[in-house]
Amino acid sequence: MKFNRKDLVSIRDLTKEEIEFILEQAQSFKEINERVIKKVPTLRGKTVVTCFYEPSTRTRLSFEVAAKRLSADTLNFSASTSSVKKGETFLDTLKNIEALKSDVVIIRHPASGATKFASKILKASVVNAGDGINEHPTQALLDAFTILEKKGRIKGLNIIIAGDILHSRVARSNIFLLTKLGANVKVYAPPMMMPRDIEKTGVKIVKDFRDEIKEADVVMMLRVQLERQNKALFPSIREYAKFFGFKKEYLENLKNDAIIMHPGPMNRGVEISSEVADSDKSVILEQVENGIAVRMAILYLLIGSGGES
Amino acid sequence: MIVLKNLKIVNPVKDFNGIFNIAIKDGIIIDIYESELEKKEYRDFQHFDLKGKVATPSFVDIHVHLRDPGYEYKEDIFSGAEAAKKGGFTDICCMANTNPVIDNEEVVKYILKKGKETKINIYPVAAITKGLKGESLTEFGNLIEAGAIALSDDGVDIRNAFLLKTAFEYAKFFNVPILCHCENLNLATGFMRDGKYSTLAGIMGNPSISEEINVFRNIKIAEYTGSKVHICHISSKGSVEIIRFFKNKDVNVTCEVTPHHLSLTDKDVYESDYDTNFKMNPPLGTEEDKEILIESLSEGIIDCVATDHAPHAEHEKLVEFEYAPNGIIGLETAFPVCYQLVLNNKITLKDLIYRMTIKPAKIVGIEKGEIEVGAKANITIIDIELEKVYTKDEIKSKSKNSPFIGRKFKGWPIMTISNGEIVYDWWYKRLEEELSK
Amino acid sequence: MKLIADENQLKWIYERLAAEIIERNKGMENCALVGIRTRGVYIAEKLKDLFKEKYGVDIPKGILDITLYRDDLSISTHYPELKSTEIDFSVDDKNIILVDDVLYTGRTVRAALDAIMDLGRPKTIQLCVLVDRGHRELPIQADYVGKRIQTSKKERIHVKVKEYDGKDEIYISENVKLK
Repeated sequence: MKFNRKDLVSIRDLTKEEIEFILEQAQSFKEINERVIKKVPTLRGKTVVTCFYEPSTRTRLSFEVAAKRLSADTLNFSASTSSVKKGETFLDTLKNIEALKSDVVIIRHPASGATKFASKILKASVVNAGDGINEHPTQALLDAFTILEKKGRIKGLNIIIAGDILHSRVARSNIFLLTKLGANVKVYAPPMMMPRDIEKTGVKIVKDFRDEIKEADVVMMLRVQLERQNKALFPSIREYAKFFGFKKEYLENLKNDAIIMHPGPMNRGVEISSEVADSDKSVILEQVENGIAVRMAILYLLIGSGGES
Repeated sequence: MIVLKNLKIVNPVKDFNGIFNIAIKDGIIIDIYESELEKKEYRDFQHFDLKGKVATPSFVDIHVHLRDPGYEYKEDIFSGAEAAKKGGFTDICCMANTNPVIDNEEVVKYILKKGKETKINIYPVAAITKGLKGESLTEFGNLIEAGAIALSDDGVDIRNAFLLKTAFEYAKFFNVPILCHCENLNLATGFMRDGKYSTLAGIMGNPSISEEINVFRNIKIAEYTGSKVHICHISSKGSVEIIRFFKNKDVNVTCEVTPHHLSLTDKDVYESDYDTNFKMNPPLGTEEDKEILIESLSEGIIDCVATDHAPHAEHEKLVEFEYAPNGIIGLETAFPVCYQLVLNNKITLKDLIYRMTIKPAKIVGIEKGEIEVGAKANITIIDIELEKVYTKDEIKSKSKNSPFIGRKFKGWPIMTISNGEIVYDWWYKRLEEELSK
Repeated sequence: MKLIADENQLKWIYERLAAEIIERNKGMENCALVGIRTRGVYIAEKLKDLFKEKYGVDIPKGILDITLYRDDLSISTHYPELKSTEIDFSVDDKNIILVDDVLYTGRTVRAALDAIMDLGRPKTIQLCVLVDRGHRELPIQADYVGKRIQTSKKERIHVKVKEYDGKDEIYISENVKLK
C-alpha cells in the first residue's frame, strides 16, 4: 500500500484502501501514547501550523498534541470570521503561512470547500480540520478507528447517525467513510435538518429512532448548534430533546454490545441525556483519545515519508 | 465600401441557397449576389474572400454587465464592447448595477456617449428602484427619454410586491419591458442548486422554488396590470412550466436562458471542486433542467439566449466558494457553447440564430433585421468547422472568470461587421499574415 | 548469487551465538531479547527457543519497529510502512540484547538505540547480528556476530529465515544500483 497524497481534505477523495491503510497505521501510533515518554523524533525539524478561522479547542489541541508527539514544531494562527471578510484575504493569509516554510497547514474554516481551495494553492500539505458544512475527515477517521477497536469490523455494521445532518460536516464525512467501508448507515434528523436527496449518498432515513436503534451496532449522536434555534430551524431545545434526543429510556432498546458515540462537545440533556453519555455503552472519551493516534498517523503519512514511490 | 465574398447566408427567416457575395456601402447592405458573378461596379470596394463561411445577422445580447461606471477594474464599456465584438455581438444591453447605479439620466447619457465610441450599439437598462434598493421608483420617463431601453433591478428581486405592481403599471405607460430577476431571497440562502450534488459537495443548497415562486409572482403581477414582462436567466424545469402556463393564457411574457444553463449542470459544480467560476446566480440546474431548457428554447417557450455576462476580477473570484461573487463572463463563448446544441441536433442553426438576434431585439425594441438588401450591415461571420480550445490568453474581457477556459468548441465567430465596418477580424487577418510569410 | 550459509551452517551459527550470549550474561538474569523488524524478530525468536531448550532459561522477547526513528525518512525512496512496537515488559534496568539480521552502516542500530531509550533506561544494551558486512558510517559494533563477510557496496546480502521466507539461508547477489 502506498499513500502518496499531499493533502487530506476530504473522505470523499479517499479510496477504501487508503482509509483502511490510515486506520491500520493509526494502530501503531496508539502504542506511543501509552508510553511514559510519549514522543518520537519522526517529524523533527518539520513545522505544523494550525490555522483556525472558527473557534475550536479540542480539535486544535488534538492536532497540536499529535504534532508534538512526533517532535514537529507547532504554530497557531487564529482569525476571527469577521476579519476574513474585512481584512486580509484567505489567499494572502495562506501565502504568508507558506512563507514561514510550513510543512503542514491544518485548516478549520466556516466556508465549505475552503480547505480544498487552500490545498490547490499551497505547496505544503493541507489537512482539513473542518470546512463549513462539508467535511471533517479526521473526525470520521477517528470515529471509524474507535468503531474498529470496539467492534472489530465496519463492514455490515448497522450504524445510525442522528441529529442536525444538514449542517454537520462530521455526519457527511462519516457517511462517506462508513458507506465506503460497507456499513449500513441510517440517518435520523428533524426534516428541516436533513439534506436534500441524502438517500442518493447511499444511506437510509430512520423513521422511528427509538425502534430502529434496536438493530443498531453503533449510534452516533451529533451536536446541535443551539444558535440555529434563532434561525427558525427548530422551535425549542425542550422540544428537540424530547423528539430527537437520545433519552435514557432508549438505552434498554440497545443491543448489549452496541456503542454510543458523540463527536463533542456535548449538549447534555439536549441531543444526549447525561445517563446515556455516561453509560457503559458510551465510547465518547475513547474517541477523543483515539483522535491523537489517528492525527499522528495522518501527519506521518503526509510528511513523514519520502514522497513519491 | 466592402464586398464580403463567398458566404453561406443563414437568416432566421429568409433563405438564401448557394454561395453569395455581400456588398456594403455607407453601413447598408446594397447588394447580395451569387458569388460566380463579377460585378464591375464594386471594383473599387475592398474585397474579403470568406471561402464559404457562414454569415448571419449579428448577435444581440439583452443581458450584459459592463461594470462601467464604478467597477472599471472588472470591465469597462470599451473592454466589454471588445468582448462583444469577438463574440459576434453588435447590440448589447447593459444592466443597471453600476456605481452609481443607472437610476438617473446622467448615467444613461454617460453610457450612451462612451458606447458610441465602441462602434457597436450599447443600450442602457435603467434601474426600477433608486439605488436598486427596492424602496422607491426611479424616474422611468426621464430615464427612457434619456435613452434607457428597458427597466431592471437585475441582481436582486423586488421584495415588495406592491412596489413591483406599481412599477409594472408605470412601465406600461411608457411601453417599455421590465426585465425581472426572479429570486425569493428568503429561500435563496445557498450557493448552488439544492439536491444530490449540493449534499455531496457539502455546500448549502438553493432550492429551485426560490426562482420559481417569484417567476410566478412576477408574471402574475404583470398579467394583472397588463404589462410586458421579461423573465431573466431562467434555470429550472419549474420556471419553464410556469412560463408555458402563462404563454398559453396569452400573457405578454418572454424569457431568456443563458448559454451556461444550456450546457452545464450542478454536477459540473460538484466536479469542479469548488471552482468559483462555476458559481452563478441562478445556480446551475440539474441534468433534467438543462434538457428541458434546451427543448424549450428549440420549441420557443424560451424566447432567446442572453449571456448574463458578469465580469469579476481574478482576486474577487480567488476566494472561498461561499464568499465568491456570482457570475461568469459569457459574450465571447455564447455562440460556440450554444452551437454544440446544433451539432447535437437539439436545435437548428436557423432557430438558434433567431433566438440570438431578431427575437431578443424585439423583446427590448431594438430595430434588427435579417441579412437583406437595404438592411443595416450588421453581420457576424462564423466558421462552423473551426474547432479550438478557449484559452485565458485570448479573452478580451478585463475579467477572466469563465468556466469554459480550457474547453474545446467547434464553431466560432471569426469576423464581426457593425454598421458596415469590420470591427472584429480574427480569421481574415490571420490568413493574410500567413500568406505574407 | 553466492551462497554464504545453508540451513545446516546456520544452525551452528545460531547455536554459537546463543552460547556466546549465555557465557557473557551469566545466568541470563534480567536479560531480554528485542528483535528489530522484520527479520531480527525471527532471529530473536530462534535465540529465545535455544535458550529454553539448551540452557533451560526463559527470557522475555519484544519487537521493535524503528521506522519513526529513522534518519532517512525524508530521503528514502520507498514508503516505510509503520508497524507497531510490541514490548510488553519494562526495559528499565534490563540487559537488552538487540537482534538484527545484517549490520551495515549502523544507522538502523542507531535508530533502535534511540527507540529503546525512549521506552526507559536499560542497564546495558548488547547487539547481536547474524551478518556483519562492514561499511560502517557510525561508530557502532556488534557484541555477537554470526558471520563476518567482506562485501562491496554493490552487493546485497540476503538473510532468509524459515518462519518468514520459508527457508534458512544467507546469500549474496550483485543487484544493487548505486546512485
